[in-house]
Amino acid sequence: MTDQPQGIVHGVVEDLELPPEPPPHGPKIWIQENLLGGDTPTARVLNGLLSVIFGLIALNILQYVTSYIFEPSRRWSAVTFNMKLMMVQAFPQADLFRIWVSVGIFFVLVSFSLVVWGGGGGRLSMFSLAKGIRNIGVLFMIVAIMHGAPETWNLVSLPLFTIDSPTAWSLARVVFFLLGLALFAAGFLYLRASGDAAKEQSVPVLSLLVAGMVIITTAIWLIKLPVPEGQFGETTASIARTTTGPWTILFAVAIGSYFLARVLVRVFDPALIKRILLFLWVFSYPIIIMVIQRKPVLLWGDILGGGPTVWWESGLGLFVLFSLIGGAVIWWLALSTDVTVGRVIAIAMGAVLAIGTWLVVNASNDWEDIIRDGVPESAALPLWVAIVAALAGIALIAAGLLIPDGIEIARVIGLIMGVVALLVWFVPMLFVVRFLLITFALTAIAAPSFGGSTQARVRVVAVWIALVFLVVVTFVLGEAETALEFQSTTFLGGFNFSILLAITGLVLSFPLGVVLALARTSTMPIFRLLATGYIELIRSVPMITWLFFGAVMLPVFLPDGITFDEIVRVIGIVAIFNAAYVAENVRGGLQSIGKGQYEAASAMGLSTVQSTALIVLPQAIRAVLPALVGSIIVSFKDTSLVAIIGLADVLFIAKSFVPGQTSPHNFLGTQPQMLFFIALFYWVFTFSFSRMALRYEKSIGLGEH
Amino acid sequence: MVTPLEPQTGTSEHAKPPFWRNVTVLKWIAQIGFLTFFIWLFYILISQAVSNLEGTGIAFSWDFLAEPLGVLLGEGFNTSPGSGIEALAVGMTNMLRITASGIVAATIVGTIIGVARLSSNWIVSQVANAYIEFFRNIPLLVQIYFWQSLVLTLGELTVEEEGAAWFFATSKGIAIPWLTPRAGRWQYIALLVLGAFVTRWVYKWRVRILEEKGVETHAGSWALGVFATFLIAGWLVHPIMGLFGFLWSALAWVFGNVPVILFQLVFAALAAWLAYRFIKNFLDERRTPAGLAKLTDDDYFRLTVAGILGLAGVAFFLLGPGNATVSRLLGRDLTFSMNWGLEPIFSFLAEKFDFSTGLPLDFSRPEVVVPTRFAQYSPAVGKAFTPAFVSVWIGVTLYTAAFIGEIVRAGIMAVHRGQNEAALAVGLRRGQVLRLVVLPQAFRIVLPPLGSQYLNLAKNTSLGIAVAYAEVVQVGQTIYNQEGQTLAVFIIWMAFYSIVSLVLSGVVNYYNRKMQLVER
Repeated sequence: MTDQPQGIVHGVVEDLELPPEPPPHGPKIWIQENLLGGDTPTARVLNGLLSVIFGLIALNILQYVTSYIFEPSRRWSAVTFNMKLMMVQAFPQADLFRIWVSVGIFFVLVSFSLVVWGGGGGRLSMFSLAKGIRNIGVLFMIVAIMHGAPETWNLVSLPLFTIDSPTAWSLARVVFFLLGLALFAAGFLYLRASGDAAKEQSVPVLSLLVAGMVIITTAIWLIKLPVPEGQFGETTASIARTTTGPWTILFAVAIGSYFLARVLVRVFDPALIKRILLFLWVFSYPIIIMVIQRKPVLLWGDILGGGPTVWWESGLGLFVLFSLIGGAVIWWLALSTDVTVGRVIAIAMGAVLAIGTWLVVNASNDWEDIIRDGVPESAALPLWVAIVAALAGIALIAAGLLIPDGIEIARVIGLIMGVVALLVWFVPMLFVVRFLLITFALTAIAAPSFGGSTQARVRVVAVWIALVFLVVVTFVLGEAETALEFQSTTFLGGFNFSILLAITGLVLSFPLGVVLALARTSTMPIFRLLATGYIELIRSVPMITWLFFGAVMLPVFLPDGITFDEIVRVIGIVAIFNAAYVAENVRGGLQSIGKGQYEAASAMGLSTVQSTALIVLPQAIRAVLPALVGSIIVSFKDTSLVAIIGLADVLFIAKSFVPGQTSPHNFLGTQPQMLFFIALFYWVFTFSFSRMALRYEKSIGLGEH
Repeated sequence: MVTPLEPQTGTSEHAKPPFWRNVTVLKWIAQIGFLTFFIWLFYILISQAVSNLEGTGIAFSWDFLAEPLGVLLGEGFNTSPGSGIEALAVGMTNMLRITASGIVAATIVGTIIGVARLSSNWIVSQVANAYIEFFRNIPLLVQIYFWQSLVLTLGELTVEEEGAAWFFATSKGIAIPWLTPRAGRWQYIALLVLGAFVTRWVYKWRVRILEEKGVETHAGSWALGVFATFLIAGWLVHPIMGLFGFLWSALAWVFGNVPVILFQLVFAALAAWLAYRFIKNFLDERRTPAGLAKLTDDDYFRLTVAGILGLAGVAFFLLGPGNATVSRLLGRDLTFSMNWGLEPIFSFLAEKFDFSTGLPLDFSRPEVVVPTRFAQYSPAVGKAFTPAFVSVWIGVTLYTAAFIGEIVRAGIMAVHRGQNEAALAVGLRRGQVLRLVVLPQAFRIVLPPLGSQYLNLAKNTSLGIAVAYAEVVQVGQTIYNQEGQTLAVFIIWMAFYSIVSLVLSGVVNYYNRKMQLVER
């Protein structure tokens, strides 16, 4: 046995990140150990043979790929010409700045978050950096030495690895080779010169990022690529001139806001900035989609009241009414010790409910007809709902009069409001009010569990007002027409749509997934049965069939008059689908939390809801964060499936739109290379995201035992 | 007073809370309330769907399963199926074909990649690493599209290529030499099954001798030899299996003459017996020396459900619907021509076991024929794969192999290094260490995630629809585009994929349980 670790054992050393192995003793020993290693001569020969075979395989694949890319008949202009199409599809040219503003907001938020939450990717050791540069240099040189583009590219007729004759060296290849040589020399010489010191030194990843931005900015100003010019013909210019300026500005904004954030953190309270930033993260997303990108036609009459709209039906009126009255009730519910206030609230709510129901029913039904002919079928359901709602109002009044305990009254109010909110769904009224009532019911049920100190009560009420704001704004903006002029069914398309689908699907699926996970681990058998049934049914059938379900069948299940846009349906289906997978991940986390946590929480006097929401869930979600990040990547990859049902995401455009273009440019037959590009495109995103996630997990110490 | 019914209530000072504050009661009220709400919602949705469908003039029905259907499928055992059920059966077999072969291939490729990833050879491990990072970070759909476009850029199949060759790769697909089954295959396969049992017995016998006497008995080589004997000798002597033909025809006669009511009784008894077994086992598990343990809500729930399901099963099979189902399963009183009965199966088998001396298998090279103006692969010899099959197969195999590679690597790494060293210390050779010590332990760790990858592969075959591979989703879509029965087709999809998932996870769980460490 040599003391050099062998085979499997070597892998262990590498992956557990044990202290670094002894420094290399030069290329000769490295080759002996890593390419020709072995205990016996036979093993060494076999290992050498393996090295040769796998090396040839790798070189061949590299050659196939490079010769495919550099073959003269490839028309990469199909990619550069259609970049805008693939990114945003039918988004009007004149409004493109809206997309840039969206990206800019994202950049600013990321920059601020990097400062406020620290991190920033940590540091990269100079050793691995230099090694990376050296290896990239070697790769460049190999590609340059390899034989260039053949006349026609054919999978079968391509010869095995060949080195081109020196006569065919073009200037570009020489430059490429020299670039590789320079990179190799830089990395190699640095490693040589600094020796062991390279492992001690490190650079912040952030500065590398900035360097990357600077390099990219320089490149997009210098490199010329074919872009569409006029009606026909092509010309070379700096990469799509429409994007050169914006990217430069965006990079500058990103770097600038990073330094601005560093200043602000010193001036203001970081906790405050964190809170504001969190708020901005949550709200920037709907604002980006609904305001910045959708360009709604705002009818101020609908928003502020006036004109045909009564003030209390306008957006502002609803917001003020609900946040004031609802806020007051929730303020009390969050610490419900005062019985008198509780009585007043319960009786008032009961009276409003009972009298309001009576008024609604009276207005919509002709009692004489009903007494004479019986209840008409069309009025049967609303009538029943109204009766139950009126009874609920009376029950509230009774509870307010009879129950001697404030907390009990609060519970009764929450419960009855929940029932009523479900029922009034069927009573004709503004759709936004239905949503607000449901939101109020949920908040009212939750409020007693999360109330307590004044600070906690303020927080609960703040959450309530934020929710009202979100619901009202969503409805006002959703009902507004878009002022964009586009030649498509929707303004969303291309990569913009893929991103929207991935993020929205995940964000919506998360609460549902957590609820399902809790239900599946609950002690209550019926909840568990239903949750298990849901999760297993969703998971056993492939996603594409669910997408067909959403695209083709969902309209069949909806009542008359309720229709959703196909995109909305698909987003909903993606959320419902993801929820099952999120639920399984969260369940794993819940099961990893010991029983002692529940017992300790209940010994501290926390209720079941409190101990679940405040003690167990945070730990459970933290434990499964890597798995959840993995599911983000899977979800992003899965958005490509909407191409099958014909929605214009980036894959669909690249695969079907572009290769079908005949004018002004003929891109027929470019499908393989468009797919090649799209594969690379997805790869860059998923790969870099998974690497970032890995770094983040390590930096917060996850996945370590 | 502590009542004997509630032994766990230790503190009798506390008065029993009123029922509206009793947590158990409240929990059940909440659950039943939610269940009612759920069922009501479900009912509303379904009735809405039914009335909406009627409104569009396409009422929900299963008739399309039996009615003739004018669709042509891309590939499968019957490309112009006569009815909906036949078309779906073709789609299902196509899906299973790609799933089964894909699972085998992905496991092999994935294991190689996983082991190569751990190699001490730098080039080998880097190539494996590049493979994994490349394939798992690109959406499968993009990969499948890419393979399809690559296959379609291969040369055209021209008339000049007429004739046989070892290998064809053209835009019409890939053709390779193949073992084509011939008439004698049924008897040969039966002989091989028999051979497998004999081999198993021989292996156990040699192992027993080894354990008793402690001498090397070469059990593996013996087993291999016995099976090889069957494999080679069976080629010549397989006609003797024709004896089984008598058994099959006897069975066919039996099943053809049993009255339906007997089947009904058997199934009803089976349902009752299963429910009884479940309840009995359940109660047995909770029986302690001090008597039956206190049953929780959950236990009562399970017992109730089991009882209800058992009774429902008995009622179903004894009443009208059971009669219809059993008749249909037996192949009588058919509303559509579906011969799933036991009698047809056995009479079919009886026909095949007829002492014929035909070859079991036939090796043939692919051939290009020109029946009309265009060249195509001959369906009779060799094996031709359509571009759609090739792109889906390569796509799912390479994609899944990347994930399997990661799983295998993690599994091997999870086996403690001490196992390796200890095995070497007791004198095992390197190959033996891997085969007898490391791999069995790694297999135990690898199996559950491997099973979920197999499930993913099975589900991912549905992406075949993107390249018009005639699997069950594509066939279903073709059918509902023509017949409008979206709901019915969707129910079939759900049922089919659920069954495939259940079977796959059942198999994996079975092995998982077998491999599990036995603790205390």
